[in-house]
Amino acid sequence: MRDPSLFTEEFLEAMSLLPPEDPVRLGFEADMAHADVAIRSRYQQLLKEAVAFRHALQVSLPAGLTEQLLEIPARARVRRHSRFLTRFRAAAAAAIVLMLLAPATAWFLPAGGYERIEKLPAAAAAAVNSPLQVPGTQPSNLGETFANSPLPFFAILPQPKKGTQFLGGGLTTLVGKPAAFGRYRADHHNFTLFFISVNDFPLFGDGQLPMAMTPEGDESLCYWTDGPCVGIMVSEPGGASEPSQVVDMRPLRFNR
Amino acid sequence: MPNPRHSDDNPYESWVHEWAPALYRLALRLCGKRELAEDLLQETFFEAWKSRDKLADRDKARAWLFQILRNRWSHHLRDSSRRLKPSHNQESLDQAKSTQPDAVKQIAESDFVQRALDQIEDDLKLPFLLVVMEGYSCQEAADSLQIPLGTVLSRLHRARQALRAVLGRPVAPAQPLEKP
Repeated sequence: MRDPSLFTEEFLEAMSLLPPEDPVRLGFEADMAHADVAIRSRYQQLLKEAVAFRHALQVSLPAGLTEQLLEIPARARVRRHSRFLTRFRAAAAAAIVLMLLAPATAWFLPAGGYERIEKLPAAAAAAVNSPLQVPGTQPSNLGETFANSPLPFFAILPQPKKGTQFLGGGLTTLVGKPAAFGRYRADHHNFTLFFISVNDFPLFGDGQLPMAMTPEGDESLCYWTDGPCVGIMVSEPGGASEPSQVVDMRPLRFNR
Repeated sequence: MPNPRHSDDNPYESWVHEWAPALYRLALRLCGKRELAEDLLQETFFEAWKSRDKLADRDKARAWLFQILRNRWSHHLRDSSRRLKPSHNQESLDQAKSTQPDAVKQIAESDFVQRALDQIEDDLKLPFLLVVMEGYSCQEAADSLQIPLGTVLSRLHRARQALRAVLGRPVAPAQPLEKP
């Protein structure tokens, strides 16, 4: 018979959690055959509990997620060859220069009211793909700074360019992270400008777009990082590809 | 037309079909939030697709994918600089302790187990999930987590004790049951 110290409660608990075919467990159970009946009874109790744990932990893959995962390579290829990125880097550089030159106080406007949207359906993809169907959106003032927002910067809704209509904006969440957004319409196309914290989406720092923010279909999506802020513009198919065509790309955020 | 699930030319698809359910399960049990679990899964497969050429031995895809997921989870914890807060308050926990005497019945309530999992550290939770939920052998878990086999057993026991404590069942003292 094995050393009695083998059949401690710790060992019984650990061994009963192992899969039935685990060699370690099989060896232990071989020794168990010679153990006291009280120990074997206790082991059976623990096995029953382990099975309950195993069953309780099972969950199913949400519907549609497999398809989304299968689309990742195609999306990544599109992103890699995005013709917008190069142009956007230039636009972002210009915006940064302008931002450094502009007097910050001119843009520091008092915060207006806004309706906070706690959650968007199906995370950013839904918001990105249907920017005009965001429920509960209330127009905000241009120049909104969202001073009381959870964003680590003051996001400012930019002025629309001539021929562009400002539809509204506010605070929302993208994949559970706070974001400010403004919506515009130009040439019969809708645009949504999001501002998020780069810390909430670290992949931006690697030059990669988080998968949860990858648009589907023919929508174009342009983004740039500026300090703690990430600006993202989503356009409907056929719409302008650069935010500078839609809005005034003067300073859009300030550090808190 | 070849079945993509078994295509050597497109291992990515076979990974999705074969391992996505298990990876999602682990992600959900680690973070406790469906939306975040889906994000973690998407990031995991995105990383896998980007790094697919680095996997020399395709038979080790499972361990490789699970490692990526754990890295993404660690990354998330680091970036958020906080642990995810448990989805219940102390009052409900105390109530659970006092009104759920039947441990097996209690465990059968999956949501209750999740709330208990939220209370224990990843060091204990990971071996528990890999072994109990994913059916890793003790040695596989040790290899995957790069810890000694004895440590896996110790953490399994400690995780179980911690879960049981949260679930409200009295924890028996650790001592030999066999008569000397």
